[in-house]
Amino acid sequence: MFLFSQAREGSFSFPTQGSSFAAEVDSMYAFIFWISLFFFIVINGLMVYFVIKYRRKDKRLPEKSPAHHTVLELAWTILPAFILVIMFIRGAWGYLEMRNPPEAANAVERTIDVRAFKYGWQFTYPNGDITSELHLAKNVPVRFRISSRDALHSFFIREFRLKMDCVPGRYTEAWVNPIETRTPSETISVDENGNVSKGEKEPFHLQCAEYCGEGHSQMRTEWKDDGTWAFPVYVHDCSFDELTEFTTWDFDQNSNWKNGEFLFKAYGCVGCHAIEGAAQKVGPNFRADQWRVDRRSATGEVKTFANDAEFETYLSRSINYSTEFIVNGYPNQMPKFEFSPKQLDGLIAFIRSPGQETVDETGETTDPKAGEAGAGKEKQKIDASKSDESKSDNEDGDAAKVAEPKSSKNTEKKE
Amino acid sequence: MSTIAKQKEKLFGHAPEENFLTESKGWASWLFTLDHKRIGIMYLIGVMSAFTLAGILALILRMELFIPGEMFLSNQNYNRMFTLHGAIMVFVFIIPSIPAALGNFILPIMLGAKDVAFPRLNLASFYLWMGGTFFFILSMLFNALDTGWTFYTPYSIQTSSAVIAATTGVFILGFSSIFTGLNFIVTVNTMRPPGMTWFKMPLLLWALYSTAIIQVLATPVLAITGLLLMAERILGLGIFDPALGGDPVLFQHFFWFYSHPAVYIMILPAMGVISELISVHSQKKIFGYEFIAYSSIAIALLGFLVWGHHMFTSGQSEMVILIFSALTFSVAIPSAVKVFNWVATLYKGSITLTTPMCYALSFIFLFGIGGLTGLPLGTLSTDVHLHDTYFVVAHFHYVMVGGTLIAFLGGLFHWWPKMFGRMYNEKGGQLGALIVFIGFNLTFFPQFIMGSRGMPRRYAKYDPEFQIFHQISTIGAITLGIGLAIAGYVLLMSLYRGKRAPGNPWAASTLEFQCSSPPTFHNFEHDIILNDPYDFESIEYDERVGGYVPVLEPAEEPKSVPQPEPVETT
Repeated sequence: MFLFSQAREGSFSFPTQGSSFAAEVDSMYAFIFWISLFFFIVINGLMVYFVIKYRRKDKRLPEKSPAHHTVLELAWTILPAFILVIMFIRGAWGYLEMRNPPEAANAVERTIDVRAFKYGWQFTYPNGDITSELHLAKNVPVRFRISSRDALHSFFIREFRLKMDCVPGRYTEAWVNPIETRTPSETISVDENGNVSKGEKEPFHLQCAEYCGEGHSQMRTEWKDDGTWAFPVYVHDCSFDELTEFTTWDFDQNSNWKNGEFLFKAYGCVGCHAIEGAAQKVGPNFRADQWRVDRRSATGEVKTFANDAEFETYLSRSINYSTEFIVNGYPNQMPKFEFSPKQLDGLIAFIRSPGQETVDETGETTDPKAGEAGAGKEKQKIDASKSDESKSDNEDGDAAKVAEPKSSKNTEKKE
Repeated sequence: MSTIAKQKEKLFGHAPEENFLTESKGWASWLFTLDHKRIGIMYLIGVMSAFTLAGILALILRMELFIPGEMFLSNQNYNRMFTLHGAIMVFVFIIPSIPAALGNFILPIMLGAKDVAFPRLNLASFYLWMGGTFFFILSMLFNALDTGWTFYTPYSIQTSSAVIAATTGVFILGFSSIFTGLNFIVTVNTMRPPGMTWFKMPLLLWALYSTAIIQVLATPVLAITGLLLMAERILGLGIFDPALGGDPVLFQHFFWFYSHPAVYIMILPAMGVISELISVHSQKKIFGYEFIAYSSIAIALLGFLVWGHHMFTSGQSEMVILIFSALTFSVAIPSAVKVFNWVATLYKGSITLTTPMCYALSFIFLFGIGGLTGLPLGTLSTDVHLHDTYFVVAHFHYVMVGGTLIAFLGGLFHWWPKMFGRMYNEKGGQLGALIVFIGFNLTFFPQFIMGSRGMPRRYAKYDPEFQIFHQISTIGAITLGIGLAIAGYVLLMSLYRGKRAPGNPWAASTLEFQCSSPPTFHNFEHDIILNDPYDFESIEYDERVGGYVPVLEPAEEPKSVPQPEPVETT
């Protein structure tokens, strides 16, 4: 039946079977469906038959028939119970298999950290690599250690039939053994002019399944206007260790702008901030031509930027101390980050010109070496302005600090 | 004319000059009334207004979902809309719908009583309902709530929206519910007429009684949870907030400890209504009375033990999850027993497809789907995939709307002539029921498929692959809206054009059909004649009355008639 074909490519009712336990889930569902359909047809068939057969004709009062029948009633109380017991046992068995990772997955070197936040996902691999794309190896069971930075989220990959809530303040776990590949080349196609479009297949779909606020429906695998996938789940036909090819990013080998672009994706900034002309998300869009415009906070405070240094200071504080200055019209919901100065350099370079890599002010192209030099210079600038900033903080009173302690405690606890 | 015939005409003729609607006039006579019938009517107007509002919100949501991206609602507005839709439907409409609106009107008359045990408490309950509803509307107007009707922490602690106003609303509404429940328990226990033993009560009373037990036992937990949430927000106690060492999952336990039994507050009275409708409109004694009665109690009690099945993916221990899954299956049995008994009641009946019967039959169909789709949700391995998807949305709409709303409408059409003394246009009523049935299935059936394909709930924007299902669903919602509008129009028109209703238009044998339509202020102007509630042979048609009257044997003639003067008949 096409409704629940047990084929791996999915059916009318179910997506592709991407994990080792997906087939059992689908077949359990089909089992329940056919039993339910049987009872449904019996009940409604009898109902329709009785309604037609015993429509009132001339006499109001029906012929006599018994008003109860103990054996019959006991039968339809007890017999369904047996079917329910079978359902429970099979369901519990399938569930325990989904919950208890096998030996191979249940080890530190096979554990991927899943961190959900408003509104995005971040994956940390055993070797310390960080991405916003989930890369898995086919037929290699892995364990997920799941946590959340802020509200409840739920880690749901429909092709894996896998779902686990991300609860702030505690870890939950799940595991999966992917049995189907989804590589970037299957999900994106590039024609000879270099135009990018959706490929034959989509990556496996990661979605947040627990309502978490404004950007809830953006915490999912999505094809974007700029020709990339947000939060895709890829499965490669390789060993687990070979995944580093897709996950590792060498900061020293890349320009500041490239580093920034990588961080922007890996830390899920892309979940809230769209680039250039893309559709508005929950945070401000990043458009190169709007950066020098004055900013007004929700409390009416206005920030003006006399020079690039002030502006870059503003950017860096907005990233690491996001609650300090909330731009009017946007909710205060960005999580706190702790980027190193070098990472900030990259992010600032990228955010100032998100559309394309540019040459920096000194006229040098940002090749790796120049990037390093530039980084040093900018770092100084930021440090200097930081001390300025803290002085002025003390002078203005504690308005900015009020919001801080809670969020910093938040992160401390979870780190 | 024999003495018996005269007696009958006197007892069950057309409405007396004065009835509860006309016996006193002016706003104050309604606002300060202690008459359970007037309170019931005010509740009816209130819950129907709430239903209309929340229904319009639902239509707006469905319109927005016609395309995957943004049409006219931003994410934030979408979240506010679904929160209001859910919260109003659950707390303001479904929970009070059958018990408070229909129950208040019917329960005392079904017992042959003058009123409920505590009429003042009853009025207080209505005003608490009004107050709670008012708080909800305040929260909507001033600082739109966006937590979903579940108020899950820590989001409800973090969001800037009006959680405190809304929780206060829920708190007050909870007391309204407790007062009604308490009143019904005492009324049923103490005010049954002599001869009406527990097992001679109409099944609606069993259902309302079971519901009242849940209302009294479970609602305080919701009140406490609401208070703790407010304390958390105002004082930063750290019970639920993980940043202060609290546990957000604890909130879910507290919340569902009330809200799962609340599901049975919603469905049990509906089942009671269906037991009445099926039996009366097929003129057949209800099959397996005792099993139905006991199953109501069983559902009420087992309903307290299954709250954890809302949290199978929340990170609970496996042992807890296994136990909750097993207990969940046990609730399926009493529900199934009721359905089997209803169908068996139809066997060799004398069935008429009146409007209430159309709703009752569609209840069996829709509740069948709603109940059976609960099985893959109770089964652990499938629930992990289906949890928090549209499959769940479709499942509970099949139970809450396909079950409770349909039963409420069926009951409303059944008791409408009793309430207002007017018959409605039968053809119009049937047409409305048919369109509601079609529209409902069109709306919610595609959501099962969407859900099993992995569409999560509460998504303002969605994957384009689900668009076709969303579009069918939206078209269905519009159809459903049209059907409901027809049903409402038919009822309202009956007030102007309907012909006068006899005391007993359906040949029902329960006591509320022995008084005039509408009842007088005192309900019964004569002694009641107590028969088995499902003994239709004790009822016969009387041409002069234009309706059904109890069969009076000379020996059974009532000995005293309270009113000495003969009632004028028109």
